[in-house]
Amino acid sequence: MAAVQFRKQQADIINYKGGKVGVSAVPGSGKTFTLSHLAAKLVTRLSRRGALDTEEVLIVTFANAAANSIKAKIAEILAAQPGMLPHVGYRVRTLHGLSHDIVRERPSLVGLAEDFQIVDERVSAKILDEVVSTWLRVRGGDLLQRYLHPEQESNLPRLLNHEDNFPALAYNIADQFIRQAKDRELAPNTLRTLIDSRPKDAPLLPLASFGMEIYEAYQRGLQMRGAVDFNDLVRMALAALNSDSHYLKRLQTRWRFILEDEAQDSSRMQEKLLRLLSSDTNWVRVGDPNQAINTTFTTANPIFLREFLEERGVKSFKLSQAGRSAPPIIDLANQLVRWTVNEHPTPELRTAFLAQDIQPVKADDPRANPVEGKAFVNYRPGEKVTPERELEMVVASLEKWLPNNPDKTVAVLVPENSRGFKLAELLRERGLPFEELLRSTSATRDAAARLRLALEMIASPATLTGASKLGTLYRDFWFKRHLGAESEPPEEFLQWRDGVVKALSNCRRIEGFLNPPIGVSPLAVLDLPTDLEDHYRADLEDFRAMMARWLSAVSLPIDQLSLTIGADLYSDPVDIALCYKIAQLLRGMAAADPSARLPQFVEELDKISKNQRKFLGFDDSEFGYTPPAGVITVATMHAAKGLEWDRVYLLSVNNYSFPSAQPYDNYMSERYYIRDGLNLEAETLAQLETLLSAESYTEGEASAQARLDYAAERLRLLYVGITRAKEDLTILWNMGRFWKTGSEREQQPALPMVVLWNYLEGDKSR
Amino acid sequence: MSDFLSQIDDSRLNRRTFLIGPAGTGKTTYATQHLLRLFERGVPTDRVLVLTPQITIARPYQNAVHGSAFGGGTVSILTLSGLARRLIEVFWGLIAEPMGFANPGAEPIFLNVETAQYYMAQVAQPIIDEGYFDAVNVADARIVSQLLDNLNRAALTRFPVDQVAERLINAWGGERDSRRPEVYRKAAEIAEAFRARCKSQNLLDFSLMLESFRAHLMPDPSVQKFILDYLDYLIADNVEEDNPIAHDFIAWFTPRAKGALVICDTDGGYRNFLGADPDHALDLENVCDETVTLTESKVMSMPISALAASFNRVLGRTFEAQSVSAPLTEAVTLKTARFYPQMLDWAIEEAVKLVESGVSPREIVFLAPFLNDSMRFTLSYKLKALAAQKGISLETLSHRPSRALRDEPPTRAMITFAALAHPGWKIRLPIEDVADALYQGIEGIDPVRARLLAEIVYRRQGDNHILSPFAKINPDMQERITYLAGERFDQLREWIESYKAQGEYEGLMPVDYFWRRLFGEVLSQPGYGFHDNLEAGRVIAQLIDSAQGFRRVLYPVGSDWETAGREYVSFVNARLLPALSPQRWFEEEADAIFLAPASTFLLRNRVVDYQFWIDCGSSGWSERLEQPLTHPYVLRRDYPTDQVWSDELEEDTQKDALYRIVIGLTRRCRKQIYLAVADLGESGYEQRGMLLRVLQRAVGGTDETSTSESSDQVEP
Repeated sequence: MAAVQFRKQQADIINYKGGKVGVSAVPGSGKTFTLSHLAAKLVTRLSRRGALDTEEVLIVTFANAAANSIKAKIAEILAAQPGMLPHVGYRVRTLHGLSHDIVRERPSLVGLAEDFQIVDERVSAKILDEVVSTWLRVRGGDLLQRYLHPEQESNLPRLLNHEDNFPALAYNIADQFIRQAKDRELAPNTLRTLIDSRPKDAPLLPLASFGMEIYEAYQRGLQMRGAVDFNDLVRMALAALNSDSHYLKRLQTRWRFILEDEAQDSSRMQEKLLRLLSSDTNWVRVGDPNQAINTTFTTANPIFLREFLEERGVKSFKLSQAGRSAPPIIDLANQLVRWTVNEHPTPELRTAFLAQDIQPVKADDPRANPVEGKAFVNYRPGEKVTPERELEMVVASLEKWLPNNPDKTVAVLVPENSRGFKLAELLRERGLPFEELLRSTSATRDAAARLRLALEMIASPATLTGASKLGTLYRDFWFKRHLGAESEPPEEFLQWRDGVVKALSNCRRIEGFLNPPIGVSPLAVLDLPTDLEDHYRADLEDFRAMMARWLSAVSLPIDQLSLTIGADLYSDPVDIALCYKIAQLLRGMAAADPSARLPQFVEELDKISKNQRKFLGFDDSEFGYTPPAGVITVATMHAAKGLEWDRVYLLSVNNYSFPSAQPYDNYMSERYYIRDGLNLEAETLAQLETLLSAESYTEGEASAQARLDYAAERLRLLYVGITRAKEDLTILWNMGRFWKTGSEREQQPALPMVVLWNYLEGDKSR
Repeated sequence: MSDFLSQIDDSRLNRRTFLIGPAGTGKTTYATQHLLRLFERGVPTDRVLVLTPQITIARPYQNAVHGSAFGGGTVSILTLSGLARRLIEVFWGLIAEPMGFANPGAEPIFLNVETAQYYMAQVAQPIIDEGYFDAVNVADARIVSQLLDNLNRAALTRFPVDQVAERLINAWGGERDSRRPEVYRKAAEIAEAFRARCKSQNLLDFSLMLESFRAHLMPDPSVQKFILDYLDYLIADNVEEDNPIAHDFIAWFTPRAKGALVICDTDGGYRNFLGADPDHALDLENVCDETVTLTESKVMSMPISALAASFNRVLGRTFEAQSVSAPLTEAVTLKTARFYPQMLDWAIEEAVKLVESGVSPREIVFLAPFLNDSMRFTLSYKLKALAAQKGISLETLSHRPSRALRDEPPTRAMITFAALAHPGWKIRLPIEDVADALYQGIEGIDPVRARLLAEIVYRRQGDNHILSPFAKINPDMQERITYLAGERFDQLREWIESYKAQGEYEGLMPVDYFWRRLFGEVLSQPGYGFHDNLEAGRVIAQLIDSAQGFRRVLYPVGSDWETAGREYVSFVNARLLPALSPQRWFEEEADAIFLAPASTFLLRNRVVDYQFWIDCGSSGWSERLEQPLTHPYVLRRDYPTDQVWSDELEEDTQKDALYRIVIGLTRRCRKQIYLAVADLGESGYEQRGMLLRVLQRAVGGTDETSTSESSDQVEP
């Protein structure tokens, strides 16, 4: 630790002794670095006092990825100290992880057994989907009719029945309603009482009534499984602490210091919980209000951090120096803030940012700003750029840049996953090296897909499908591990592989290969040359033995079968851990549905491998991501938060992805078939608020406010995108995919993009 | 040991001795010698009662008798409920009426855990379905078992059943979830309804057995005389793990016996959950003539003693281990892995290294707070596989208390065969099940051919399951499946067909008979899958026992075997039946690595050279099982009725439990403990259990008082 040099601003924070502290940090200022060192220092302090068996430093952050990266950082710092067991003395948690810890320790306080289940996204989505579908079948028409755009009358049946239309919207509405209700610590029966007790002449709240009924049925669905969902956990954690003051006291003692990272994403519940746990004393909150990009339809809000910074008794610090980016990029980011705060044409959006500049560090700083750099806005007034053209431009630029910069990192950042998938497709076509940082890692999908393939083979071994799966297993798994293990296997091996795959796939007596009668060669049933060299023969024989072994495990319960196969299938620790997790998931499925057999398990794995299911505990952000040099990272701007690259491209910066509350803007949350541009998710939450506050409800107000909130968040998202670049930054836009359907659906360059272009042009002329 | 053992003489045989000391000081070894000495001095074997809290603890006594010249004699080695059951059988006529049983003239029916669960479910399920238990988020089967727990606890603590709810409500306190008291009251109503049903049908569950024993048998002079007429000597081991009613019996019998040896482990109390009362056990000292205290461990090496001392210091106990000077490096190896399977792999590699170096597998145990099926399977499978790679044949032995009978592959095959033979059950059989049963049942058929065969020969016609003969298959397919397999299949098929025909003609037989016959006449014969398959034989024997037990209780006189069989199979399929049978003594003696939950190992009276503590980060090492409907501490005799169960009490019990486990395990280890930690637990959650924090201080070297040796022995 002695070798680490801190900047003055960082040192002030590292020297923290106690009390409430708020830190407002700019991007690249070493926020996580500082926080990790502070945590390590506090752990050492507890250790010296011999307090580690009762006390800990608690670090709370927003996302799993951030939690993992801080954890790794603290472990690295503490590893330098002798006699410290890894991970003792501190815990890094997300809000849900922390709530889980609290409930898990005393489940009985909230009526749970010790082995209570937390349903993952998979199960919770399934329950909600069933509940919403059932409701819609009976009363969906009435609800949609109430909000239907007059021009869409004739489309009502289609909108109601096509799952991407109203059913998807209704699902979102219900999901938002339930989240919000849980955040407000409201049980379904409380809501029912509130609705039932409204005066007869009060305006109807159809969306809130819908939400409440779905909420009731959803909770019943959880109850039947003896389970809770993620959002229940937070509510229950608070309930547990409030119900047992001794327990609260014990946890207050245990978490002697609470450090909160990404505090701009804090929510009402998080603040409430941490205030309770810290007994409003040793609490350090660090964040950048200008990077609050998780506010839309979540309960996160940067206002909590902003108010905390002003709170009495809170010592405020700034981390305003950042060594990440070259001066032109810092300048552009600062300009975006300044323009928004002072000149945004929509006055309500001027508060989207906290007026704070990023300042470069001193030239002699060990992490000084790159000297050279360039910011470029790819905009020409009047020019129209199709989505295809935008991708072409980026790919062309990368094709030129990559070979000359093999040691540098580069990212293409997109506002939405779908755009990233398109780009990835093109990069694959062009043979450019890239990694996706999109919805889920391909590693997760691969691991599940491999197991699925093996189970499929076992499920139908005697059919041609089974034989063809066997061929695929040879090609995609076995060959890659053995003859094809080198990066460029000899052509001869590749021919052998193709021959084997063909022979297996066409084999009509596969049992003769897998379990040949005594004295008969397994290869006799395969259409392969008879004069095979020994190493080919041995290769296939080994493969056969393994497959026969897998098959012989077919009688085992599904978790054990998966583990048996997994032991051969996986070598990477993450994959093995994932396999273990999959095995448990399938076991749970078997317990819940005793009629499930291999085909049903295969189906489930298919969903996981096709990315329709997400795992609890092993989601995409299991590990902090380190961008590799010479490989393009394709990521959403959200996923890019906390990361940096030498060169960054920002795509789709148009008025659809980055609206500015201007009359010509379109909004994702407003469906074309809903009247008056209503945002039904926002209207639902407004109706819920009306129930609680007894204030009157005016239709449309919430939709208008939602536009402003969204525009503000997207400004901050653009800021996050810009500040990911160390040296080079290019901002691009496109006309959106509906430009062919008429000019009214054609997208414009985002207003802030044009503003930044103007600024750079002015700069040039200066 | 030698000093104390040398004092055994005839005078001690006829005294009442209270023998106390921590584990590993030679108490049980002494007691087994004491038992044999009694026989050597001419005491008839049937006049000695050996009383232990559970039958596995009695193993050393069974082994000692078995291996001695007195192996042919009858020694009563019993638990209290075993004793109670014997006495109830003898004195049923005396107690049936005063206890309120409806048919004193008819035989009593003793319920085991399974059948008690079945009857309780019948009473409770309609009420659960009405939503009365919605305020607790617990699966139905668990509600049922907790309702039974409450009855048992009431019986053990000698307070009336109707006090259970009151005690739980008082302990819950007013400020918490207000719906809970209502739940407790409802639970009490169900318990009473269950009790009433038992009395109306002469059913005796564990709680009624204990109540009969305590309130009606023991106070009766004729029963007392009977006991004293038949028994002269008592050895009561591990009294700290026994319940207060057992203590009362020991307290009554000891002064009346010609000689008694009452043995108490100072750090025990692992069966708190099952009603053990270690504090009350200490009172037994008062009924003895002398107290012998043993302190010197016969087990722990110097470094392990130092480790025990270190744990003692950290957990704040006063007990001092003898040696604290040895380096902890020799006692402990610690490994932290990121993922759970990585942690298991490390432990597996280390264990195989030990075996490779000549350590007997029997000297190695893998201990975890919980041992679920996936973990048990992974450990067992990988240990064997890794050893095989190194050319070693390695066996494992596991205790798996929570495994469902249905999860055993032979059980599933037997159920499929039974369903094929009983179309009246109307069970839908997926093709996968038929193929699997054929694969397991017929020797020499592989899964692919079994599947082919099943697809061709099996079809459903209405409720009937049709298996067509092999001869009807086209010749090409016959060749693919092989004639040998076909011939065996035909014999099996014919057996089933003839059973069905016989059933139509003579009526069905109970399903346990069916299985016994199918296994004996076909499946255990040469050419069939369970021939020479001891493991399958064990599972099937267990299935048959379980089905038989069910039948005897539920249908003691009935002959509707169709319904009985269907009901039993549906119970198994719903995974409501655990695989209960304990390991037999010869299995326990096997030269195999033992895999078990830590608490199970502690109750085995076993000492080993090497222990692997798996999943040290888990909070399960200290936390008790949460049971929202019952409470092991609140429902104890000495718990103040008006005291709220607070977090402080909870924390104290956790510390206490951790101390008992950590010290108990350490005292049962001779050479080394391997500590395996996974940062992310089995479900992917990060772990920060109390044991981990204790390890930091005890072996992590950060504690200000720790020795310098302890600070450099950790492998980060």
